[in-house]
Amino acid sequence: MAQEELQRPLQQQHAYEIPAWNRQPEAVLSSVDLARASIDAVLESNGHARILNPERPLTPEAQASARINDAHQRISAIRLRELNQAPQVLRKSDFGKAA
Amino acid sequence: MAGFRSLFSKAAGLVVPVAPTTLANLIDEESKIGGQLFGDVSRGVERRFFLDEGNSWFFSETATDPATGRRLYSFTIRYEILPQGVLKSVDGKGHVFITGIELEHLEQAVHLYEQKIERELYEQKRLKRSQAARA
Repeated sequence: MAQEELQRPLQQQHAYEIPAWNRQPEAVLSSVDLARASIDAVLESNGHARILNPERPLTPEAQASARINDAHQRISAIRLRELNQAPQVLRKSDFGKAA
Repeated sequence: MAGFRSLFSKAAGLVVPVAPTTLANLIDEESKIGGQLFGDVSRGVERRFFLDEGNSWFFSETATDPATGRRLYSFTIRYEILPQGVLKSVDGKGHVFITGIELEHLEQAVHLYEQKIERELYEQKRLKRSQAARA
């Protein structure tokens, strides 16, 4: 079994007993999932669930929110470009040009 | 826009400051264009729609009686864009996540807003600058 093969080099290299997490990876994974779900539940209430669990499918509402947020980035970029390009002062010689 | 500029020292100064282009100014101009997305308004009604400096959209409408100048009504809807959805409140109250057709309409409005301000505001500004540079 692949799991045993994985453990063998570890047993050969180290005299001490294989730790529990390496003997029962399924059980450990299950615990991790449970912990992740608990943390997600807390984070979700604050709007950060997908940081820890990006595989979870987004709700239609969250998908729409993400698309709107993408538009925010584009609008911010448009505004920033204008702020960088707009003249802040006019020289006297510019009179009549910029009205 | 010309009225917005605080021109001074017109006659004597070598350099004439104008009101600097600020983000607040741009958003103010955008909001007027955004208000046109939802169709014509009656006389005395002012409608604004815009994205603020953060992650919230605002739809506001104020109606004034043209004859008397008396304010008839005014309200502001805020749509806060959060990762899990869009939180709506009216005049700061009644927070609720919107769904269905209202969410679809908001998303459509956001995309139209993006196109409209680019075409009717920022392209025009760039065009004016390039024309001024050539003159």
